Amino acid sequence: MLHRSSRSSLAVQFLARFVVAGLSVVSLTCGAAQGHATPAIKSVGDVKSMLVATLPADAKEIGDALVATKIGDTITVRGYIPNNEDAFHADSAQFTLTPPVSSQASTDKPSPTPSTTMRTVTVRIANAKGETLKGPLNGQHGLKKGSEAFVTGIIETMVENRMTLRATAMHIPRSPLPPSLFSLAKIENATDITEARKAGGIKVGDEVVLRGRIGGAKAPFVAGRAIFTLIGRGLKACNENPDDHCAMPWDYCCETREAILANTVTVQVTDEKAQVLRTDMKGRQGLKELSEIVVVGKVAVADGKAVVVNATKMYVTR
Amino acid sequence: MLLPFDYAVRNLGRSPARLLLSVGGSMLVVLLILVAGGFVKGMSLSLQTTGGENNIVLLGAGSEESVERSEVEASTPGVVGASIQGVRAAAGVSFISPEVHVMLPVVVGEPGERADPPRQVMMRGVTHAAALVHDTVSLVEGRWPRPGSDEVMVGRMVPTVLGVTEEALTVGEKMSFDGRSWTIVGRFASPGTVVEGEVWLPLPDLMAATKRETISCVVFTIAPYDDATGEGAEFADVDAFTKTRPDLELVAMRERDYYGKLASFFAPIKIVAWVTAGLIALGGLCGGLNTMYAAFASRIRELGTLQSLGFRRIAIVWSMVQESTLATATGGLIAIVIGVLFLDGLAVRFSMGAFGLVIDEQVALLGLLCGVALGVLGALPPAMRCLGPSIPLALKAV
Repeated sequence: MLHRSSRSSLAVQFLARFVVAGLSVVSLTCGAAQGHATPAIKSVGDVKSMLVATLPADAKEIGDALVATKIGDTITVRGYIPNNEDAFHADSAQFTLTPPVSSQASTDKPSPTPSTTMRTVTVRIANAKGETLKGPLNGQHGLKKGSEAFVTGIIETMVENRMTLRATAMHIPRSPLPPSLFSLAKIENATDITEARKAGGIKVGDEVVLRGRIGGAKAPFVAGRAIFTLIGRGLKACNENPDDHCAMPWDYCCETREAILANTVTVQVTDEKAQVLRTDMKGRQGLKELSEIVVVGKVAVADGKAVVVNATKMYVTR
Repeated sequence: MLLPFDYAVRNLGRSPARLLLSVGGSMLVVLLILVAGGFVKGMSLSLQTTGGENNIVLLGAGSEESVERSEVEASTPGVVGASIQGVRAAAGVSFISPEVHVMLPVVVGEPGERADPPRQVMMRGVTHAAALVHDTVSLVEGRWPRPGSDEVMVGRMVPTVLGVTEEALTVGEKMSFDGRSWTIVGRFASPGTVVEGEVWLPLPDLMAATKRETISCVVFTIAPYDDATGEGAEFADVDAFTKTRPDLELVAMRERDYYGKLASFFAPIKIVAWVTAGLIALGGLCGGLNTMYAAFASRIRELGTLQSLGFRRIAIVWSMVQESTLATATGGLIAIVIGVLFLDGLAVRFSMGAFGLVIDEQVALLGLLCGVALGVLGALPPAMRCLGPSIPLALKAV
């Protein structure tokens, strides 16, 4: 015969076992899901699983990363794979990243070549044991000489102007942005888009320097293409109106479509074939909706309604 | 030591009426869960599978949530064909379909012939290009309607939408809207999509009937981009096109994304369906608990005897759970058979048209799990309560 306290104890034990068994099933399921989400990198072919489709918004330029970080930090850096023989390691998964030329030597050469004093980041892709993967990366997963790359990883070494980064994730734009596109120096003599469009006379082929804010649509950027819409200061963003708590103030939904059209310019970055570059603009240099920028470029379309500018230089004012 | 499984099975036969109630109750609960699951799954699938994989729809800016509100200039299809590279074409014909989507009140038969109130039906004004773009649509009877002849073709689910029999909407029958009679000249299928609840007619006829000069949208198919040849297009190319032509006031969406967004619009309805099913299951569980309390309470002496013979309480609880679960699982299985045979594919009308209930493996498994859960949860509290008294007290119980 069981004592009452023993019976209670039996019931509690039964319930406890039931709960523990349930929790074990749940934790095993979650563990399996976790394992599936971050597959182990064992070979160069597995590097594909490290690639992310979205351009990381918090990427640092290499120069800034060398100054503001320390060993052990996890950072995201943006750089270009140089056009020289040392760009890729011949036998292992390592490559070099260099800053855009404009930020190193103030030249506009599209293919940066590192010098002995150049700031560089060596990117290493390792397996779970920390060993660098065997086999070259050149030509794989969009990585090639001249490619632009956003690499997220842990800083392993830092010596003078060089650092080694153990990569955990990468974003490789399908088209590299011209290294000299973003200007570090303020661009003077910019005209607000509203004034420029009101004055009229914008013709195809004109060189223009325009200032505006990114907006005019719910999605002013196009994912995967270097194109966005810029709107003049002649119109107020919705959040600048008193008591307006619009969730997307950059779409200027408080204005008429005609007003938006009359104050908007489309900015695109194109290649030599006049095709829009296959890369994101959102997130670069902190670019986001309602960022104010100055654009230097040549007018590609001006039909009285739409104005499209092929940008050659940009400066993010805020 | 566990009690033999036969003991639980034989106990079920001791009271056939109670067994029938347990099986019938759990069957009804599982059946309702299957209906809720099939409703949610059917609605989601019909919206998610509507739209071609490479189809892109251009809507008027600001009308991303409703193609019916969208207005696009009638000249836009031509601009799209001339401006976007990579639009699919066959034999020189581009896969570009200008369309008008509008909900109209429709009655079956000639105007005034029947007393039935009109019902809202999604009408789609199309050209022959629609047959290229919407490749899931196939004509199952009759022919395509001719412009200017007051002809329409109807989807397979339209009878459900209009609440009439299939015979009322066969080829040659009439339907009325805009105060006029229209002849049904064809019937089409588009399995598993909401398109089956639509009436299609020539674009100019619908534009005239609705007195509009603009179209609702342009649907077109892109050829997938080939990195090697550089031919084809991606969604981003179309999106970029809309940015370079702000004067057209267009917004581009993947057709599947558009219908996927509609699916999220119906999320509250799905929640209501699940909550209703959950409440019914809870009611079923309470009923089951009541039955089990009554069933087990009369067996306290028997349970005391089992304990005195040396069976542990956990073994007795396990046997009772087996007994209860056998009954409810049987009910669940019967419900699944009924669901698969009679509910799967059953047409349901909703604001976007109609869809069929989907009782697939996942829904059936959910129903079975609920049936088993009813058995386990329904047996545990009464079993533990009956095992509460000490053995002498249990043996003296009447």
